[in-house]
Amino acid sequence: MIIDAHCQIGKGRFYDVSSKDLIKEMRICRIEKAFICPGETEIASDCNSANEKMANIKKDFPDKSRAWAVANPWTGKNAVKTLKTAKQLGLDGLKLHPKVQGYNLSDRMLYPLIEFALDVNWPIYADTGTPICSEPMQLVELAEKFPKAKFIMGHIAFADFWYDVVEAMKRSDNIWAETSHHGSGMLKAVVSEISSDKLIFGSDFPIGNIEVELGKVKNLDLFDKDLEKVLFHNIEGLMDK
Amino acid sequence: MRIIDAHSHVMFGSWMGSIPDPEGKKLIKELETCNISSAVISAIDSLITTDFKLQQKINEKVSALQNKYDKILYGLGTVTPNAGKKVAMEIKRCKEKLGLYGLKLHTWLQAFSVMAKDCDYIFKTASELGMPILFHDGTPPYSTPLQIAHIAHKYPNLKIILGHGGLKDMWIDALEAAKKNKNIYIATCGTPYLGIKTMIKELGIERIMFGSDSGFADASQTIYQLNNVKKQNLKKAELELALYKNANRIFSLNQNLE
Repeated sequence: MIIDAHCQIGKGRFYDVSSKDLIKEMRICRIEKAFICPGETEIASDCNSANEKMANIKKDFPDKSRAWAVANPWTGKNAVKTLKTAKQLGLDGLKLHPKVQGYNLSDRMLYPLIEFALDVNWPIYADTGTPICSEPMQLVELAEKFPKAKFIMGHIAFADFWYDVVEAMKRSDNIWAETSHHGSGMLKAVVSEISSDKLIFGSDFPIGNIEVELGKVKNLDLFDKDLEKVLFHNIEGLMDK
Repeated sequence: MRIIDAHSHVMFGSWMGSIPDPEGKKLIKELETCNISSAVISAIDSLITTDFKLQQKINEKVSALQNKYDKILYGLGTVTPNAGKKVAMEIKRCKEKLGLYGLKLHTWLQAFSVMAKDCDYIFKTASELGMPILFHDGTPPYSTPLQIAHIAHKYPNLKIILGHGGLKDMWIDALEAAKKNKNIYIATCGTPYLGIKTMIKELGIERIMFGSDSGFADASQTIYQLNNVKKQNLKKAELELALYKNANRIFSLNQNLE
């Protein structure tokens, strides 16, 4: 069983991929299920429409997909309305993308969105690694403000925050890390210094290549039980808790 | 297939708990594990100091290692702009006496901006001597692709390698930098898969080189970076360019590729 915790469908800078493209790659790599989210263009421009598209894809592939919902926090109360609608449509979690949506991960404007996610027991995936808007310590600020919320540090804050990642995860036990883009040294550090319970496989398709990203995780020399946690138990656990 | 790693490191001493590799044995073992024929290396030791005299000694050690592993390791030297005009003599020594193949500058770790006036001694000398410079790039505020591209603009005869192709957040800037400046080349380590694909399409394969950034982790890091290139659905001739022919040409390694 393999679950990919972060795949994009739709348009972004230099890509435009469909659900069929993703399903094809999943089949090749034997991925049973993927968490899908809209492409950058839609996250930046029309979250309501983007969430509807994700819901429709979920309907088309109910056994193969779960979906991250997006909302623009700059729209205030409307952002929460967007998330309520997304929840009604059957979406499964909240995705934050500070770089594309234009805010700092520590910004108070996010609080209503986090509170909504807490109310409906959604995990929260945050794209991280971009200074000055999506740094691990900014995620810690959010994680400490909302200790019951479950945060995923997308891309393990690749590229230059390798010292911060472990410190952030030691300080906040409500932070998990998603594996895409970062080198294997960082992944191994999370396993050895934090726990294999806190690492979650994701490819960031199509910016990342699923086969290459999966190969990286399988090449970490983890015990089978630890690898299983990374490949599916940990993300499943976040959904069920 | 032959593979040249265009962006690799050796660590003679220890930094932040890393295991010293004074004789390059760990590096050579990693190359063997990954089936990599040769590597263009710099010493991490000299990228984390601003001590010019220490850098001079390390340049000598890189040269000695290169001589020990002839045709396998190709060394890059480094200098700090803090040394002022003295850098010109050292760069000349790196090329003519030590036989090094270029320079590596890690402006973020070495704590200077490429815009600093004293850097001109470095760029002018390297340009005149035909020494390529491999930069760490993709990290604000000292190592962004377009900051480095400004140097490429000022020194059009200087070969510049963006050592990380802009990393995750700045690969689009790296692409624009290389499109505008024909003297910029891309090493792929840290560039996302989609970024590498886009650069191959828009810049042409001749300006793309596989690099691993090894020296900071183990062989699995190198294999990951290598797979990001190998899985690009390239024709054999294109893959040969990306995996070794371009590095051989751009760094003037003079390997016999027959």
